[in-house]
Amino acid sequence: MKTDHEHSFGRHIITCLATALVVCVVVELTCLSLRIAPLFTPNLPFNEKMRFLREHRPVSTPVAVVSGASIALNDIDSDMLEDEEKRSFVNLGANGISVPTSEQFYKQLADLYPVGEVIFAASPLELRDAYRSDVEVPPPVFRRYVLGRMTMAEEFTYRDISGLMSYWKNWSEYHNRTSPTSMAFTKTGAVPLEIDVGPAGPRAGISEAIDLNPHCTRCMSDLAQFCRDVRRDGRPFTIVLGPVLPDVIEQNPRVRAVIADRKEQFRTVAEGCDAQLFDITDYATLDDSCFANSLHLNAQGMGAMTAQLARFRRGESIPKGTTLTCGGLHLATTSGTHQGSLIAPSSSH
Amino acid sequence: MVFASYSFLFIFLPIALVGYYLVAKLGADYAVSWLVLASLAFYAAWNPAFVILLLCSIAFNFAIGRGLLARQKEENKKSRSRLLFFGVAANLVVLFSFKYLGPILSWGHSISLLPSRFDFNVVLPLGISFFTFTQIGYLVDCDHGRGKDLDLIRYAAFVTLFPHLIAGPILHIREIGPQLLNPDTYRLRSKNLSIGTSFFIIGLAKKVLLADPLADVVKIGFAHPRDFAMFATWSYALAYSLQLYFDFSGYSDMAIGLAYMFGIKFPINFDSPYKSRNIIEFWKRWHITLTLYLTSLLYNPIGLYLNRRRLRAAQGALNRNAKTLSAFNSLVLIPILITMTLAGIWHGAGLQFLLFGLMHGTYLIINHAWHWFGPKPSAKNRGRLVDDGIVGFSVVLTYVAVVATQVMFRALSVGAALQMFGGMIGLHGVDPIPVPSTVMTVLGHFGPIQTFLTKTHHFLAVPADDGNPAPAGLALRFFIVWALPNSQTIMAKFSPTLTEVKPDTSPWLLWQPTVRWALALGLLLALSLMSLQQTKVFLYFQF
Repeated sequence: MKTDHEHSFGRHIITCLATALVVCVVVELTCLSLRIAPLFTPNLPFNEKMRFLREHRPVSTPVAVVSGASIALNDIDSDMLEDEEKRSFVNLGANGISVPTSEQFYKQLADLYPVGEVIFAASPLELRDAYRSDVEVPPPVFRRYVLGRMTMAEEFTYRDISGLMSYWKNWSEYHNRTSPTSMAFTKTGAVPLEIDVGPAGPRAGISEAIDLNPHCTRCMSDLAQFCRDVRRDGRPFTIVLGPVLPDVIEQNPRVRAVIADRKEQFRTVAEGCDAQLFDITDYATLDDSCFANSLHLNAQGMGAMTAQLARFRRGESIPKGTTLTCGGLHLATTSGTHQGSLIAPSSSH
Repeated sequence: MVFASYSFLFIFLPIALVGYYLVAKLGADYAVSWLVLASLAFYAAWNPAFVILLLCSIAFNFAIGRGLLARQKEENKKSRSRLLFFGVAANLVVLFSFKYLGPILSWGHSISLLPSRFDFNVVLPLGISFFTFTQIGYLVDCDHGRGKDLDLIRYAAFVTLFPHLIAGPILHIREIGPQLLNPDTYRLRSKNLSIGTSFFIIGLAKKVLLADPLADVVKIGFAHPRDFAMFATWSYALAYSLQLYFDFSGYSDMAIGLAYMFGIKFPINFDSPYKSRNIIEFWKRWHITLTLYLTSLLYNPIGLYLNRRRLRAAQGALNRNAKTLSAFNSLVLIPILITMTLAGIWHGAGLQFLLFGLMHGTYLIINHAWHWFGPKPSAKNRGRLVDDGIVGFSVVLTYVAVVATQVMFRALSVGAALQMFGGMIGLHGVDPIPVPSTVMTVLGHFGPIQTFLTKTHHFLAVPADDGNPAPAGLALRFFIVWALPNSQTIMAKFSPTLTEVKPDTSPWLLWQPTVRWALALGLLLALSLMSLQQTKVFLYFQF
């Protein structure tokens, strides 16, 4: 015969475990309904890009891959390239990922779909060793998730409360292209930022936004390795260098020196692995109106830069020394080509 | 398999628990055998090959222990001492071979003393330090005539019991033996499951919600010791001290909770060490079972030996009350230096571990010297505010001293530790003061303060992906460390540990089998389950 005390202990443990179960089920169902990617890695943009891949399978192959971190995401209009070249593009850019992670991401995609070529985008100031996160998803997990074979219980094991809290806190930024951390992808996975650089824009925060001593010793050798691996598979590799806000370059000799040094390193890497190098600043200067902040272009800047890249890819001769003006954002006109949603999958797929 | 993993929580633990109480119906021997099998399976999940080493070690020490127990008569004292020496030495040789031989040979090769064939990595069997120390303690206990009633299977359970096998607490046969011999231990009780689960959930939450989120930022800070200015370096050092605290505290709680689910009580191993007012008190609260172990098997015997040597040299026995420098050297300084040096090396073969031990040894010597030779505490009433201020200052001073040793402990090399120290004293520049943005907003309305804050407000503005520990997160953890009661105090009404703890806190914070606590712990468990994805192995597993 059990005593009342024993019953209260029994009730306690049952209530405790049942509460945990109910909370877990509610959280998982909420995440599924809001279509929040499981936290496969601590890097939210990377996880969201995996979710994007699951919901946007390439309609034709081989697919051209735009790879890299935020420069790939915000500076390369892969939608425009797809429309121009009439072939499938997928933008694998995710904020804050390292070169090895970019390569791993590309390889995992190449295991699922035939890949035709790789365009790697970076900025001379953005590519660095410190703070870049190496994130990795085991290939079976990547495959199961991206191909939509993962069960609800399995997805739950990748939920993370701190990640969900961060998601909750930054919900509006992630779903709004007026934020630099936006993850509102276009149909190919790019994010055109709808940010107009005002008079107190990036200039006010130059010293905060840019690390003037970016260490990049390992990242260059990683890039060379990435390039060699892609070339070894017989695929073309193009390195695209994004521009830096002219004011930042003008105001700081240290930045100028770093950029010059880095460009030389990029050139060496490209020559070493027989890759093409497209440096927009060899042909044109993008004025302030094309920038969302010191390192990233806005939607119009992205369009202007990608137009030049498209000409470069077509093999056209591009006049040098021009200045490209974006003339402020006209959000209503850009929305036609760039509208996308973090939540809703593109209707074109 | 770590405690904070889906495989442990949803596969291993339910099978182990259900099997234990089912076979217990057949008899206590079956339950103990099940416990041993479950523990070996737990150990084998890492590296099945080392189960053989563990079993050999158990068989060897049990045989030596039996031999010691058989020689309890006075006339056998010498042969007993020889057998004890042989047993302890054999254990230490095995421990040394696995833990230090590889690094020493590598070092010999690196300075060209040895050919390259000696440069190899030895895989360290998990928990070897803990099961070796536990068994050396058993041999000493046998030497004193304890542990007679324990058969081989119960001895194996004592050593392998999975809640303590990998990272302690270091158990003594006098603590666990009687429990394993008591048939009442194996009776299924909802009380044991309820209290054990609650204790475990608190520990799990500490580990996965408070310790593990700091691991990645700490890694960045310690990997680039020269890259950060003063406040940033301090934030990494503090983050590591909190990571280590919650990791070890969480593990200790989980161990106690798990053992209690199986009806076994463990001693307390962690008792809010950052609330210590001096370094002596710190070691009485941090890794308590290791401190007691080293005190009884190293520190005291060294002091005793030095005293005896003086007696043999007709120099007269030392007396603590005499307060002479000679007594201090023999009874405190030398034993502490030797003990703490060995404690440091126990943590690893690197020079930084040796220096970690020496730093703590130096602190302890200074602390003891103050007690021996310093002024007597004033008896006059200074007022509560002054007393609290002195206590607060002592706690912070002790904590800062401990943080310095932890920087040495965590650094990848001595050079890296020195770089960190340089950063902490401003040699890499002084970055702006970290002020939370909400405070900035409020204070920013006051003219001169606004100017000052604008100049200094940078640290918090660094983007999260730059990896700085968030000051608000550190502040929350410090609040938990310093303002809240610890787990054993919260659970004190039901005494789930061998150590008596007073329920010395607000009744509202004392655990009871109520709906309120069930809901709170259920929520905590759910949050923890949703954080297992990022879980890291326990820091003490590497020792």
